[in-house]
Amino acid sequence: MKFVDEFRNPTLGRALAGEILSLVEPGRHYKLMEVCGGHTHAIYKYGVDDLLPANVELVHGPGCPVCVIPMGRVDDAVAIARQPGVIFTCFGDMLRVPGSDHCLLEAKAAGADVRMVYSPLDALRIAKDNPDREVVFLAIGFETTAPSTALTLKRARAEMVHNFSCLCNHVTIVPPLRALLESPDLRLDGFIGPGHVATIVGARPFQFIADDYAKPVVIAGFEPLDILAAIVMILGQIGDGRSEVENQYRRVVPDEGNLRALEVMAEVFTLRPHFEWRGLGFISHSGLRLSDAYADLDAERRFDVPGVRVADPKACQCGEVLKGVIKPWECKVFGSACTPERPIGTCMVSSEGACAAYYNYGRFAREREVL
Amino acid sequence: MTGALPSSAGAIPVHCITCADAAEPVSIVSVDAAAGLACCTASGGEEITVQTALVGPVTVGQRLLVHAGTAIVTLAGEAAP
Repeated sequence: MKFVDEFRNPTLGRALAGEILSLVEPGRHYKLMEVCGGHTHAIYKYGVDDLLPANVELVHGPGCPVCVIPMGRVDDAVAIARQPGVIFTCFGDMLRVPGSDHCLLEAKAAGADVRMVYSPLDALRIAKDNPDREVVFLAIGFETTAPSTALTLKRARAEMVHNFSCLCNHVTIVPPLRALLESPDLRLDGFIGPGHVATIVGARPFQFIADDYAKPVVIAGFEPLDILAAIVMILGQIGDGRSEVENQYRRVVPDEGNLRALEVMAEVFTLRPHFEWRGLGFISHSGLRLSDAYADLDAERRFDVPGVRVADPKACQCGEVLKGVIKPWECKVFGSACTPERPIGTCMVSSEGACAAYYNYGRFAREREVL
Repeated sequence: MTGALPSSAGAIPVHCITCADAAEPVSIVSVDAAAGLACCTASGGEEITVQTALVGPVTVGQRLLVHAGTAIVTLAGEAAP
């Protein structure tokens, strides 16, 4: 397929791997964080890390929205789903994210009407088809997904669909990156920036990483050659002593982002003072809720929800994985008590989660030749 | 025409669609400009309905990058085979 095949060319991939090898200093260790789960998935699906020298380490960031949902928010979702007359809709991966007692799939098995959808528009269609039921959409995701939710809520308002509401768990990417950069137990040398988030927000929101923390950022696409080219660009910046925001994914990402999307998000959402991230704790101004103008479509205001903070299971080390402090296989329950079939932690639920990516592609542990 | 547009429920995402950065290139088959919707085919041949308000006016044959049922950017080049 055009725009796909040429970015999976093995000859070009080997050439980029050679370029990476020529850019690294022997004896120096490079830790590069790929911010989003889509990159994590692609790296292990295509074996990108096998093409890297041992002293270039990829650290997996917090950009999987399923993985960062805390248990208390799942409990809120289950509480709404169990209410009589409710049809609860969510993306597939959210069905199996553990709450403190049950996940949404278990609530469904116990009789709740929980339905998987592929888009908020599908949830709205269910609401229109079931005017005598309350239909709730569990909204999760970063700036890439939030505009879709916002547009659908505007559509619900315009079409006067009164039995539709949204349990909003949208988050923004910059605050957790700042929290990671302030973290004393993590030293990073550069960032592979989230390509599709940047499609919405543009390149400018990442400038603080270069300006305030002197780290290179390269916004990258999701094919294997995109990721390899981004690593070449980051290593090039490090070698030159530069710290800039560069855009490797120009075929998709405009530097200014998508202004229409930013406008609709500003209309429909407002920042929460604080939002809890799994493993990262509460981060200021990192989560979105519905603005007062859309309060009537806010499921948190329409239904009683527990709203209780629930501590993560002690056995699970998703927090350390999300911060890049440990590799998934270093978690003591990885692949034994915690598997994609029976996940304990959120990172094992989503295919974009670092633990699931390691597990599904057989990366239990490995050693590479030290340069 | 809105009612004739298919649900996206038949789509099989390559990635987890909940992920911030999972998005799928599609080609436009028909447009309902008044509703802000387009019927598109994804790489696997399945048809999905896409909201187009974020990318402005669209035409049949254009390629879009779609995330969670909403086009977030138009792609250069001809329709995917």
